Amino acid sequence: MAQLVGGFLMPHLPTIPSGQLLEDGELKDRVYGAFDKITQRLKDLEVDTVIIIGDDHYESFGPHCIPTCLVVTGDINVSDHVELLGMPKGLIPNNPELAQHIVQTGHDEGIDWAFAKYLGVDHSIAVPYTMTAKKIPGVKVVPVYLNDVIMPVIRSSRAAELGRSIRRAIDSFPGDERVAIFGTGGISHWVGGPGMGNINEEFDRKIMKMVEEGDLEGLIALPDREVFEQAGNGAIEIKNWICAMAAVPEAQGLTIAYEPVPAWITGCGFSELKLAA
Amino acid sequence: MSLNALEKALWQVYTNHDDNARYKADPAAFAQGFDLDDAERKMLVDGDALAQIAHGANSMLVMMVWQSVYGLAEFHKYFAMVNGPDMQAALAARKG
Repeated sequence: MAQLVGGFLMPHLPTIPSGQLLEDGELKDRVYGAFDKITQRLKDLEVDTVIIIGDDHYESFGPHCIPTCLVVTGDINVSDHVELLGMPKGLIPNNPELAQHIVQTGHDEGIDWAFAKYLGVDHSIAVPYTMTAKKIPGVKVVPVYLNDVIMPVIRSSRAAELGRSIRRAIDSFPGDERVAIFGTGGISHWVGGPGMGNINEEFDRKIMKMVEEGDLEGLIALPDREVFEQAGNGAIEIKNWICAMAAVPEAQGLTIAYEPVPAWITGCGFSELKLAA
Repeated sequence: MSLNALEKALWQVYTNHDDNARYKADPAAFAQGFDLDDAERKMLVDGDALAQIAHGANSMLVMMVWQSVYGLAEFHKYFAMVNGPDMQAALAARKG
C-alpha cells in the first residue's frame, strides 16, 4: 500500500516566488532557505506525490460556486492570476488515481467532497509546489481546497476529519506510492481590510508551539472569532494546517523557521511533521 | 440588499479581462448589468472600496479588484485607505 512519509506546513503568499516587495536580502534568504529545507526533506523521503491543502482566494471559485472542501481529480493548470505573478503557464503533474481514491474513500465514509475534473489553481497550491516539489523531477500533486475565505468557513473539526480521511485513503491506496502532505497558508495576516499590515508575532509563535507540541485538539478548539480578531482573516488558513496535522497525528512537529515578514504583511511559519524513520 | 450581486460584479471585474476593461472604460455602463440598489451601484461605479467593505463585500475580493484597476504600484494607497479614519467612519456608519 501507499505510505504517508511526512508532512510540512508553510506559507503560500503570492509574492514568494518572485520575491516581489521584499528588499531585505537576508530575510529573503531565510525564507527561501526554509523552502529549500523542505525540498531537501522531500528528496530524502523519496516522495512521489504531494497532497497540498490550500484555500481558494476568490479566484478559481467565485460567487457562483464556493465549495467547502474539494479535491482536484484531473488536470491541474494555474490560474490567470498565478500567471501574472510570474509562475509559468502549463500543467502541474497530477496523480488522478490517488485524488479519485481520496474522494471515493471520503464518499464511503460520509464525506461529500466536491471535486474538480480540472482546475486552474491559485497561489495557495501553485506557490508551495513551485518552491518545493517542482524542483524534484517526477513529483506529482493532489490539490485539496478548504474554504477558509468566505463565510461560513469550514469548521476546524471538519478540517481535521478530512485530514484523517485523507490518511485512510493513502493507507488503502494500492501500490508503493510515497506521499507527503502540505498544510499551507497563514499565519497572522489581515487581507484587504482594516489591520492590513499588522503581524501578531505572539499569536504566531503560540501556533508554532502548538504544532511542536502536537496540540491538534488545541488548534481545533481555537474559536474562529478569536483567530480573526487576534491574527486577521488570513490566519484562518491554519485550518489547512489542522487538516495536514490530522493526517499525521503520530508525527513530531519540528519548527523549520518562523519569520515575520512586514513587506509581505504576514508571519511566515514553516514546520515539518516528522514521522519516525 | 443585493450584496451577492455586488460581489458578482466585483468578481467579474477581477477575473474577466473583458469585464475589467469594460468597467475601467465606463463603470456606470458596466454596473447596468447587475441588480444592485442605488447605494451599491454608487459604490461600484465610484470604486469606493471602503463603502464596499463596510457594506459586507469580501475584503480580499475588494482588494484584488482595486489592484486590478489601479495596479500594484498604487497599492500603498489602498493600504493607507483601509487603515485610515475613513475606513473606521464607514464601518461605524454601517453599524449605526
